[in-house]
Amino acid sequence: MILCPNCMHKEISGAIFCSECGAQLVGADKLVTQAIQTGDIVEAPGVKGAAPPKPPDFIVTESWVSLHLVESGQMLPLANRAEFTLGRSNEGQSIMPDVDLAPYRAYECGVSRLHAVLKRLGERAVIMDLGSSNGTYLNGERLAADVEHALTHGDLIALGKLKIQVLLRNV
Amino acid sequence: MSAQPDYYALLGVLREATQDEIKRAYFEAAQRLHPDKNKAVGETEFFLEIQQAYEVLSDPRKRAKYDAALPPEEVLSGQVAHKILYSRQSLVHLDEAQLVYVLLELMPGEAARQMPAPPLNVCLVLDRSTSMQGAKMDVVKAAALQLLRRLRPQDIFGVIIFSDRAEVLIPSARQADKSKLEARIRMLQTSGSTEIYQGLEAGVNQVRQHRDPARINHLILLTDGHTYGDEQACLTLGSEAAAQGIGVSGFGIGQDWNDAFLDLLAIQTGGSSTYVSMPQDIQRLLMEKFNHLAQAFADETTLDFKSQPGVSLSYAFRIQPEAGPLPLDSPLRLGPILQDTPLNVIFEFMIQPSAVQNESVHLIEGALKVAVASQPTPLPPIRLRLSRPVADSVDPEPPPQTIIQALSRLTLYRMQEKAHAEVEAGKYGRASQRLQHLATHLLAQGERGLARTALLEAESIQQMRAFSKEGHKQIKYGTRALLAAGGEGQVR
Repeated sequence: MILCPNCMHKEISGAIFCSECGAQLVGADKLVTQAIQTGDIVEAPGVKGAAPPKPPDFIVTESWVSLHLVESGQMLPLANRAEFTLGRSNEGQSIMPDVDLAPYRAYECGVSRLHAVLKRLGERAVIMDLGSSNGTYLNGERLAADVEHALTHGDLIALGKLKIQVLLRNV
Repeated sequence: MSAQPDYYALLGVLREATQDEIKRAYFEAAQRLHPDKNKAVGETEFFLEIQQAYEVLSDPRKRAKYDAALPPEEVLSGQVAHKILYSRQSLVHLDEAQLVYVLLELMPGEAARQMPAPPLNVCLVLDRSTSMQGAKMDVVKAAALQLLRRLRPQDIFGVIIFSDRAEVLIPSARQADKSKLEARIRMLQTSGSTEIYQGLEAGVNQVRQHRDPARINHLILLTDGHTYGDEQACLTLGSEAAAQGIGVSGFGIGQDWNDAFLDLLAIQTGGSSTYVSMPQDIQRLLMEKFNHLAQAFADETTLDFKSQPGVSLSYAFRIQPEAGPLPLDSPLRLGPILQDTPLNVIFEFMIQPSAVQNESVHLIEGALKVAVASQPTPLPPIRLRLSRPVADSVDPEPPPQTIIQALSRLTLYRMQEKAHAEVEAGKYGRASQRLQHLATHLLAQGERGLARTALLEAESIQQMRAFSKEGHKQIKYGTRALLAAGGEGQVR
């Protein structure tokens, strides 16, 4: 029995795609795109340009981490998984990050298709650059690729020029 | 090759066939080819050969003697090449059901490259009911005219028109005087209602008159409406035609035709069914179909199989040419092999725990019969034995990329199928949710238009508790077409 990581449907052993939600189950461990409930996006109070912004004091849903997109002020709560790849989708290519930042001007900001990965290791949360072209910055400092860096609540990361504030819950 | 004909190939059985199988194959062939029923040229000689084959093979002593003189099988089978790809290297000992996918590819063999394209024997069956009036009829006429002009001198072509009765507009023949025929097509007027059986029967009769194994025998049905009460009769006629090597393909125009019926009619003959959303597409799609027929290397491939205990064939789908789901019963008509496009079929097998007790599992045992159009005598069937070893631990190797790619598209088609079944069963919430998932995946694959339709349908199901006729067809045939596109993508 295989459990679909996306919709938790039980699939027969040997299945390659989830028959319920269509997610790929094998052969593409990190390349599964998770549907984000866009309805849950909460507009954060208008703090455009102010750096570093005050973290909003509310966090929606049961997610362990939320991404606060500084420029647009939108919130992306992430749940159900311990690991998320960040990047942007590109039409006609099969590489799909878990969190697709294409709608948030990722291309213009120089986000790579698979840019960085966000992980929860027990009580800690870390970020690791995946060898992106324009680099990942943590509070203004460029991170070495393929090395995990600890995150704390309210940290400001930048994927290329796309600024994101990391909001952690219970960490 | 020896002067002796290959009796096994004539009867379409494997060399190790049992007496029972030989007998069954003989009865089946004899019924099909009996001179009383069958007036096609050259078939009487064929019938006599079949009788001779049975006489030898049914007698164990004569058969043994014949076998001894028979050349080894390898020499005979260079005509068709096949490839098999499994989704996993091995099965596991497991006390629950498991799945394995098999991709079968058939293509012309080395010995058969560059064979001349076979002549056609095609009959066009056109719906002339009043609903066709206007743009639809105009483009259908234009398409028929274009077909007529594209005919090669060796092709046999005929046109039937039908409403509640059928009329032979152009009797099937080699058409020399095309200008006269063009005038007949131009004069075509709409009238009456749609009774598909009428047209189908007249069309099958036309194709039958000139039926010839060396030709591609095919009927193309164009309709825009439902037929009432005669579906079963149509299906019976279709399967009779299929048994005689006549394929049936359907084109449904607009949103009012019965897709489930037309699909079934085409599938059982190894033909294809196509959705024409806009009348102006008719010409292009019909031309495509015509080109496929003219390029056929083998007009039909049939898989005779025995299912194995504990193993069931749970899904079968033709990826190319002409993507579409296949029935699951033996004999399974897989479809044509084109000169430049191999036939790709994907199977899903469900294996019960009882089957994995041994060291290996036979998924299927069977024989593939390929009717190569340019070969007057039947080819010996290809033995198809699919099996997998059973291991103690799960095989860590990921499935081949080709299978993943095919399944990534097939999953979308099956989600659509499921959503449809859920609507039928009254589970509107689930169906709507599934379509939303489908839309997400379609977007991920860059299919914005189709994704939008899926979302609109998800809404329609929530509000109206039904698919819209148009949306349902668009999603069904749209996701199907994705597969065809994906199949060609492999070559890249």
